[in-house]
Amino acid sequence: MKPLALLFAVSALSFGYVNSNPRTYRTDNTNIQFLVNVDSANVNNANGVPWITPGTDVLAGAIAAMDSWNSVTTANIHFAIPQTTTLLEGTPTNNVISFDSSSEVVQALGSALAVTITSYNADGSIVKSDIVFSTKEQFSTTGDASALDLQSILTHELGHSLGSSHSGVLTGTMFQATDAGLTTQAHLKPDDIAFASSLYPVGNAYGTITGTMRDTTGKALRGALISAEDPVSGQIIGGFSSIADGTFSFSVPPGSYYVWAEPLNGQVQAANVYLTASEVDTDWQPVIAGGFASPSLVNVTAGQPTPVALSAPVGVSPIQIDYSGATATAGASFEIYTGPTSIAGGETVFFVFIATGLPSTVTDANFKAVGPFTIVPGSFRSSSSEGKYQCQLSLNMPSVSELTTASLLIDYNGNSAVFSGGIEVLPAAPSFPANGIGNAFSFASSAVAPGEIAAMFGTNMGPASGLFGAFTTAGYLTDQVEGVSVRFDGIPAPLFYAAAGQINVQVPYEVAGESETSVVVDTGTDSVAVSVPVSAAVPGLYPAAVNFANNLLNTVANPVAPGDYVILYATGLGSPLTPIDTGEAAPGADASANAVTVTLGSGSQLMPAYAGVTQGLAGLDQINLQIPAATPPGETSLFVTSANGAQSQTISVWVQ
Amino acid sequence: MRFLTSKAPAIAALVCIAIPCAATLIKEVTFEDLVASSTQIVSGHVTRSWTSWGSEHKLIWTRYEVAVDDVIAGEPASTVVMSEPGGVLDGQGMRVESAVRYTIGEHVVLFLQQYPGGDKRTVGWSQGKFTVDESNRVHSSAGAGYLPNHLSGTPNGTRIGSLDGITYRELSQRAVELYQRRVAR
Repeated sequence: MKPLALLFAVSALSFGYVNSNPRTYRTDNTNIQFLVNVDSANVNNANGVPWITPGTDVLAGAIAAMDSWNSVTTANIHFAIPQTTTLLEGTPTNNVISFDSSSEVVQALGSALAVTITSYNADGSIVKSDIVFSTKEQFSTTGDASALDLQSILTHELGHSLGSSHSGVLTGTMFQATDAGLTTQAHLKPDDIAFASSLYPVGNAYGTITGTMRDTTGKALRGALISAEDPVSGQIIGGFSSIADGTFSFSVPPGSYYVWAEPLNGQVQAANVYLTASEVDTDWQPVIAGGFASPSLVNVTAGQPTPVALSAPVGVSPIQIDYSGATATAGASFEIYTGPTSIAGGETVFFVFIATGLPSTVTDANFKAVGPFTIVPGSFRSSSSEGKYQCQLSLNMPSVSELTTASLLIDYNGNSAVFSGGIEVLPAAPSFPANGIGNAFSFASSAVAPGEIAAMFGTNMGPASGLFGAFTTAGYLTDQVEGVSVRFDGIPAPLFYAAAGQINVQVPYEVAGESETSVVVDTGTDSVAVSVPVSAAVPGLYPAAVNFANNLLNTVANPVAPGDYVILYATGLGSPLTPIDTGEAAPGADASANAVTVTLGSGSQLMPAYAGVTQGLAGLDQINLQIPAATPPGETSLFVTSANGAQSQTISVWVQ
Repeated sequence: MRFLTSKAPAIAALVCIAIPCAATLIKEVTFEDLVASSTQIVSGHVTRSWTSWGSEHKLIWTRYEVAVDDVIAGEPASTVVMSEPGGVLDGQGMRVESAVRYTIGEHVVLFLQQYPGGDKRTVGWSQGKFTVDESNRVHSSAGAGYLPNHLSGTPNGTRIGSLDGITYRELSQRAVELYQRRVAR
């Protein structure tokens, strides 16, 4: 490998939340090109079984993972569509994703599921990142419960490639843990988004929480995990105090937060965040701003630092939650884990946990719920077993429209513990029928076309109040709105709008050539995959034309002059002659590969002057049509027909 | 294992402990796994470190030399050299998240695995590294992802984190016992 220009000086600080130490960052953050070695996945792993499960699409998984980061509208991040390669690791500047069984890489992997190997310059600027999957595991993009979710792991590893270290928030994508069949890390959490927005900011959307972590003697505490959680939404963001002097400063969106701190001696330890035990202080108890009895809300304003005072009791807390799990059914068998506990929203559940320091004299009043859930009064139970306590609480979990997090704070007999972001509330599974997806202008649901704007109708598909998608600074429509995403054959689709009952989405161009496509709505919980026919073109017309002469809607009061042009806005004309990326705002005029004819009510057929994409927008087409000079005044109907014979609905145009 | 005896539904009686999350995208190991995968178990002090390229010149490795005080299991040695991916060499920085870090002078217990090229790493990344404090008690570097010790004896085994704070003597005895049982097989 070619040596790089400068030596690197190791930073003494561990500032920020999930940013790496030493702090590394990309300078190609608006156009990060990865190469994916797909062929290397199509062999057996070290255990003699296929490295990927049947039907797994490595490239689609990579695109989906990249789109999670591309969809952060408050960050200047854009992963370009990955290209395929035969390389196993990058050249000095290429970033490669591969399944590499060469001996040195296997040694680097050890028992890891995947690693990101990042090369950087002295100033911390990243030269390249290679991501390698373990030879001992099996990966999947098809939801196989016994395999590791490739998209989730890549989303995590791509975070490392951006310069993120591990998060202290249990539910974060950048948290250190995953397991077979788990997919929630494919969804970026507020903590991950805060990292991206802080290191690659767009504007000044975030404020900062600042201070110095101390104990009650005034000693600065190094390596404290500090969490800020919105008690209404449950959004939680974590940070760490400096390993030099205990100061902290981390970014959060404007809002009101409970802020607390905990030592790295629980489920998150120093080694998990690339620190050694000697670099952090752990001889102190968790503390919350305002105190556990009546925590105070910390109000954060965009662009402004908000100081927070935290003074922790000296000594290690005897209270610790080691494992937890939940079930809604008494008598049911279920599993408990370290890390976060996932709970379906809309239910009352038994939250069961193995802990120290919580005897039966504890009551539910010793717990505080932070986030959108409540504790059932009088529901705490505890029984001792071999030095541990097996405990349970009943929790009322709300129905949620997207993956939501929550925390438990414990204060008993002068001792405290926190389960920071340790509960994730899952939304009910979204669903939609096969005929519930169609052209957004005509609502024809016979098939979808590449690049078409489609409307989907169903239930539990998004937030109760609809939200609109947005274009990133790189000119791409985002693939996620409030944690909602839609995949066609695993390819994420750009979203115009998401609500519980309706999603408007651009059908990826990648479905071109297929006879049908498998569509999944993902809100943190996947819908059942629905198979939908694909056609080269399925034209649908916006119900009103626009007069070219005055750029106003064509109406009875604003008819077009015979011989003048009208613009028919459409969608579903199919792929353009010159390919553009899915979600990309069309850079210029680009005619449809499928010729279009327009049929007037008189029966005459016309060839439009132009039929293709609309510049500056994604999925929208336009047809520039000259109205024949001989057209009689008044209302005339028209429809369009694509080369494949697909017809639009009929609309009216008024002629002078 | 005893169960809840309250009037509330005794659902916890049916809880089963699953192999939980894989830490740091690294698979978790139990203490039994740790010993079973170790080719050598030593304690000692970290004396120096340096960086060099790997055998295939793909990665920079940071090497840590450990002066061995005690060989708990495996081949006798006065020093061992640990290799962890990442470091700075030839003007280039390389980073692999969660690579195990050591500090000079650190007193450690290491559960070592030898790779085909001869390099040694701790089993399960930081899970195979314990530090020893001045009162001779050991401390695990493991975070989330380990099993509860009160279920030891189940197929899942002993949680590494549960060993935090036991004496060096107790840790080494447990390791020797498991290692000898393994060798005897």
